[in-house]
Amino acid sequence: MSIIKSVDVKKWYGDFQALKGISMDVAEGEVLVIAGPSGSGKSTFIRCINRLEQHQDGQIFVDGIELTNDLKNIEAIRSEVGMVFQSFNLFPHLTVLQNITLAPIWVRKKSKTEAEEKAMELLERVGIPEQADKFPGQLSGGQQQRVAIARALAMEPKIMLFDEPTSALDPEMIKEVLDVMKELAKSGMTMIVVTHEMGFAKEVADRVMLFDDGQLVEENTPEEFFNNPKSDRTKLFLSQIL
Amino acid sequence: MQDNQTLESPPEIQFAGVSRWLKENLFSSLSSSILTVLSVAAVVSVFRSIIGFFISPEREWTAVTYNLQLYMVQAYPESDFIRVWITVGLLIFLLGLSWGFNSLKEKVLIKEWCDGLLKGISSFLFIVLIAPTNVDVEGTSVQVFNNNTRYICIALGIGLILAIYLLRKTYPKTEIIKDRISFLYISLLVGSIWIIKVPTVTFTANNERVDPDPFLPLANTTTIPWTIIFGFMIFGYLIGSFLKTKGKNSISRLILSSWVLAPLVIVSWIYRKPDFGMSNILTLDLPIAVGFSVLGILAIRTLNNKKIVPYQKYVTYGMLVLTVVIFFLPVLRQLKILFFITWLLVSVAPTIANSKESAKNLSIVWSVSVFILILLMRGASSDSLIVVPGSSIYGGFTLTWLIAFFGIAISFPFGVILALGRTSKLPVIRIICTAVIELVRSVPFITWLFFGSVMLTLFLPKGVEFDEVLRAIVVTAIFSSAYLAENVRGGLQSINNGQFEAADAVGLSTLQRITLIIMPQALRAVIPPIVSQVISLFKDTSLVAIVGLFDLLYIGSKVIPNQSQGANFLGTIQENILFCAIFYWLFTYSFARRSMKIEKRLGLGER
Repeated sequence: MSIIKSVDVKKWYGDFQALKGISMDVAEGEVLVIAGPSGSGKSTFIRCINRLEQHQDGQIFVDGIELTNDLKNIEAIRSEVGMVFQSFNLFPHLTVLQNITLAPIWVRKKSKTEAEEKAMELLERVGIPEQADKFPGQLSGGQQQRVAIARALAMEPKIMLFDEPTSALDPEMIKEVLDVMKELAKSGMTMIVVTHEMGFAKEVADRVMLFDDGQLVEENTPEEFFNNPKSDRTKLFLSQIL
Repeated sequence: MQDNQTLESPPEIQFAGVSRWLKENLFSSLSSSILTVLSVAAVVSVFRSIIGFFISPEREWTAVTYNLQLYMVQAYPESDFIRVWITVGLLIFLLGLSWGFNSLKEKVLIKEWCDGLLKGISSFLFIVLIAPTNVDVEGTSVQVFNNNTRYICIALGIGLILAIYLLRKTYPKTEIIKDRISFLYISLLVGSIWIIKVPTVTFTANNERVDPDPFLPLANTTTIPWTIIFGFMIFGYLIGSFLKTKGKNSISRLILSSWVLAPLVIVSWIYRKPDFGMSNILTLDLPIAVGFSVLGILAIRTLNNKKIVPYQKYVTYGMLVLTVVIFFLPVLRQLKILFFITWLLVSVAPTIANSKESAKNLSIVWSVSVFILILLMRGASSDSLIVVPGSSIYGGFTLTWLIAFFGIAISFPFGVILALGRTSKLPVIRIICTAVIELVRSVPFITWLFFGSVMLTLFLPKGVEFDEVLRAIVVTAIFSSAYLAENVRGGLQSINNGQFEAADAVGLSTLQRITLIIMPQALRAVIPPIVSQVISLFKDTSLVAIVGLFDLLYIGSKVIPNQSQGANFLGTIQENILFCAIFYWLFTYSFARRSMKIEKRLGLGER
């Protein structure tokens, strides 16, 4: 049973075609890594999944609901899909705890105490409970990204999307974020991860995809992808990145 | 970390001595020495002439002191002054309350406080030293400041400096709460009005001017109310501090809403002395209030009933149609407004009150606000018992304050809405908001005031008339909201697109995204231009004189210098304008200082 299904998704920015017909599906509990050179459309694609970008042709189904312009559907899907951004995008005017409890209180209508308990649990899980009352600006990049993961998890999503979560981090901080993501993957969360961290892909991905020029070039298990790639484009990509 | 690692503290900066400081900062080279000498000479001579101007016998300062009442309330009848005092008392009580509630109880080293005091006393000594002994009055030199006074002042200053220096030495590390220092200053000020004597004049029964011993103590009618109000302020501060220890969000909301409510109560009930008639309230207002609060509570209950939920939209539309119909029917104005806010309730209730708890809260808020609104409207719509021949009951500083406060308060929501409208994706809304902003901004304020005063009646339906003051307030608010909208739009543009995306990604609705994420950040980013705008609006209120209102500056520049009956203050324009300038400065400067502190406090989260 696939939780995300896309059929021939196309997307243009002006005259430039960013997505040239992507068809794929993700099963529940699967960890999918999307790799590819910059400008290949991988970020655009996962942003289409929670409607931060609108696709112009084709269909996307998330948890059985089709993404259309109907606002009710969009809000329903967004509360089921957590998203972690490259540049964290924490709310700078709120404390870490407020960042995490905001959506549960206002969207899920939880009580404040309930939301705070859950938030502390999540902060414990990402390893920074002591930072709860600080402002995002007072944290390091790695800590901010972990808060962002906790914020997304607080909505108890079925799916997590990661849009290059480690690209803006120092090498030392990448590990702490990846550890959190690995732990999350082991807990059975459905994840789509756009990343250049091939180590992460080897270790936890169930499937790896390569995007190039708006197209899905290769789709494979990690072992096959890294050791025995099907297409020449993948070989070229791997030779440059490894 | 190693245990034996010692923490290093930065080296203390040593003060190297006066002569070295002078050499480094003022006389480092020949050219800088010349510059220092020249600028000191310039400063001294400018200050000398300014002080000379102030204390010259030519200055008729009695024109200001005698007319202070006129400045504050213009022609408000003296028999009803208690209402003015209640107004001031209420506001200062609220000020004390918010102060106590919001105070961080910051502490300052006695040493630092003493340094500040020393600066103040040095300036005083400087002024005493350079004050001219004689001034030129029409060619002859007149002594205005004799040397004995000067010596006494200098001795006093030096004594104070020694005392402060001793204090500084004895308590080098002790801290003191800043609020207490402020209270010390205010109590000194209030205490001084009992002792201090001001130059003034009196008049006999035949309207002959008597110059008594040039200084007289302030009248009891001033000193006693101020002292009582000071007591209120301390009382408010203590209550505020006590409430803070309870630390609840609801209290801070209550204080905020009392700030919104107090000016409305003042203008509708206190200042106007409305001729309301108890029977009107009992037979008309109370039944309406009960009816509407029951209606609202029912609406809140039923709209969240699962069976009704699919039809919410139709209820809202139906209510809108009903409101529009009622608006054009010849019924009480109160009913029209109440139907309008009922429509607002019906449209927001489903999103706000979706749990039992919040439905209960909303019901309470609704009932209370319906009662308050009805009483406010009763006060505002009744005839005023205060009669001021030939002008509005608002005049002088009261008018300035009134227009500035309501102008800003009304323009805030409108400015934010216009800014959001101008950045909206919907073309109709965007075009309308842009047109409003550009139209309002591109025509001078004075033109709009004329428009409000002369032409507005042509556009309104027959029989609808507004008070001149209300028209000035409306025009000020509209004018200022256009400027505010542009400031807020600047703030909106400064916000990273990622914030919009993050808000969307966690599933916030558009309204929640704007109120919880975007607006708090956007407004914080534009505090400095908004403060400038508020300051300039406060000063621009002086332009309402052009449509025949008596504001502070008009009284100072036109009314008093033309007084010839009884008090003869013909031609005292310099003194009065100076007084007005200082008065405006006091308010705008303290506001600017206050907002700087707020900015610092709010800036905490950003970095």
